[in-house]
Amino acid sequence: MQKPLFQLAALDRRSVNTKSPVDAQSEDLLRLYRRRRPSEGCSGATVEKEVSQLKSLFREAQRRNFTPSTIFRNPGILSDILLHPSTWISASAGRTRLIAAHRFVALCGADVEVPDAHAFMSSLDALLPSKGNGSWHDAGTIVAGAKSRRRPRNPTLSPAELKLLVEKAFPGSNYRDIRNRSLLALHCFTGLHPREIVTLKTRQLFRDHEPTPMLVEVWRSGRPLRLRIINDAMFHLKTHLANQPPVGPEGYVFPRGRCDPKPLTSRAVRDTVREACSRVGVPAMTAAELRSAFAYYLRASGLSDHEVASVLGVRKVRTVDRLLARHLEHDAQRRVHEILPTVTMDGAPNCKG
Amino acid sequence: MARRQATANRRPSAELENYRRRLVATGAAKKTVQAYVYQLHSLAETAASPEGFMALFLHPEALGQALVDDRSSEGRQLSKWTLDQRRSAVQSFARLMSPELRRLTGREPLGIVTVALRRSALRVGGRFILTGGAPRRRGGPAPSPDDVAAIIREAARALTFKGRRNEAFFTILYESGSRVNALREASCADLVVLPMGTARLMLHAKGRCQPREIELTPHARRLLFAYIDEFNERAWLHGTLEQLIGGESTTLWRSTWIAQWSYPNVRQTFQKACLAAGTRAYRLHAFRRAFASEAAAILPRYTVALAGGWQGLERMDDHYIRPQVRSIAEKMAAASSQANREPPDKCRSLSFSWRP
Repeated sequence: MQKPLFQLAALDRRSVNTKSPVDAQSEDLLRLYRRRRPSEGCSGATVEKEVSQLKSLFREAQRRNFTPSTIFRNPGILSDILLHPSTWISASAGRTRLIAAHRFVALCGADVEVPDAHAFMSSLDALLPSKGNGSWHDAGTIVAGAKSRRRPRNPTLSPAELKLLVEKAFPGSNYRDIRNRSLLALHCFTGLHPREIVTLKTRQLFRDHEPTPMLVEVWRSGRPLRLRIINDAMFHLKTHLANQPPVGPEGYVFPRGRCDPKPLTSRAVRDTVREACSRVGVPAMTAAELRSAFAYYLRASGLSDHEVASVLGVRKVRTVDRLLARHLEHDAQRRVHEILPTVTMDGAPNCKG
Repeated sequence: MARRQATANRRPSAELENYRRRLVATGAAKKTVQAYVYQLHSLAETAASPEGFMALFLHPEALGQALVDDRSSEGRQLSKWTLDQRRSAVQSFARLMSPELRRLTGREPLGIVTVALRRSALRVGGRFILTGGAPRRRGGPAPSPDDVAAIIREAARALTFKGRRNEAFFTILYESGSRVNALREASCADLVVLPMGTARLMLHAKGRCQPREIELTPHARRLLFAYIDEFNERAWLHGTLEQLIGGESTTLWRSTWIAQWSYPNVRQTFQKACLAAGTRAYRLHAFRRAFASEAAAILPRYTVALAGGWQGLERMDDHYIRPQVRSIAEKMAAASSQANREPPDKCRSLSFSWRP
């Protein structure tokens, strides 16, 4: 019998933004960096990522009562910040932070009184732990950053639970419920990323010949990619498109409202997914966890790993392996449970094997 | 374990504290941090360098001898496993503290460790072999399903909520193949019931930062909820406000209304159950061996490793799987009866059809 006591309460994991603002000098330096960096031919997203990490560096400096220019004049302080951040950071954030510091010194070194960027980097390298005495290509320095995730993992969802989430979370027939159902269906039954769902435009949707389901065109790694929308999602998407006022090819598929053509924000979409999870009684799932459940759904439908990769739109099959890893563990557990003798109180074990 | 805890609680030197901070910042698991710091502490004690632990890197020979010295401070022989872990700890220390060590020694610290190990190792051909350390014992016996059933039955005879607790705990331990402390330390928040009725437990996975998710069988789930119900009911009757409530970070397995079921208490309960059941005096970890042995008798080893949370096959093969005589006998009997059923004409026709 299911115990209502142990039904999950809605776990609100909304992070509270406690980041303090950076001072005026830091803002000036960041503005300078933002202006100079694109001239090297990098994308806007990269610049923003580096600026964000530089901001974190400046915040760490503020916490230690140093000015931004001081940390670049003194490699000892910078190495301490890179090695011992005050909060937990991921390995990729740590690496980006180091790269951002390197690039900042190379571009704006003169503004923080570091005339010789190469000398600065060499002295910084000497103060950071080295990875080992390997060959030239794998040498490098170690900075703080954990490879694992910090957020606790949610349970894996089965295909039936995925369907339940889409069908039961927003059962109404009003505009908002239909839209939310469609949003959820795209999260649960396509390989689209949340950002792609939010910015989805009508012109990106294609319909091939009849038996083939709808296709959606997205750009990934600078290349156009056509992803398949399977029937489970297509039905809800079609209902939503039929329900909303006609929009041109440049109109967003998920506008904020009937009269507001602006797209939904990523945060609003994330909150919708969270609300759906709490309504159904599962912990607040992330888009990646839903994609992982979808990959398992495809696999359970008989698709090969390469076919799953093509439906999800991932380049490497190893990504599919990673998505499926926890589901495969469950499959293995179920197989063992099938053959393991059940121990009961009333007699000998019941051997199934 | 207690010794390790005591060493970990000791006030560390400045360099070890610095190392610990770096290890944590690079995302090492909690137990890895504990183990490495413990090994470095004990190495410092073994070497007893008056200039401090880092000064060992100035004398590669002394470092090498300390690394292969398999006598503990109490005079016991250490295992190869302990020496391996100590070596890994020193290598990790050399890597993470390389700026300070480089300044002290003027050389690459990892290179110093390599030189130190080579000087105290035995050269065989082009390679080096480290001697020292007692070979690791390959686990104990695995209980048969009958023994497991008898032990659980006896453990379930305890009074109050403890009977149900013991039954649920040991059943989950056997059916999931999980480690005792991983299961014992589970909190109510680690138990998740999904809308389709399946129950999952998120348990600590050794050597990993992320928990291992196990799915409970319907039988285990029933037992677990029976324990939770009985605990809550008795707690209420007893007049305490303590309850086991899903999503709360309170401990799941209790020995009193408030206290967590301790490891010595679990061991004692298990030993008493073995005695009462008239089985061999198994150790608690034997249930994990029973899980591996029973499953590997029928399923591919890779599947068993996935199900039990082993990261590779080697450890499971060498230390956990114990082929059961009963299983071998059954299979041999089945094979011989199948061979007896083979039509003799078929064999004859095959042998006569051959022409040189």
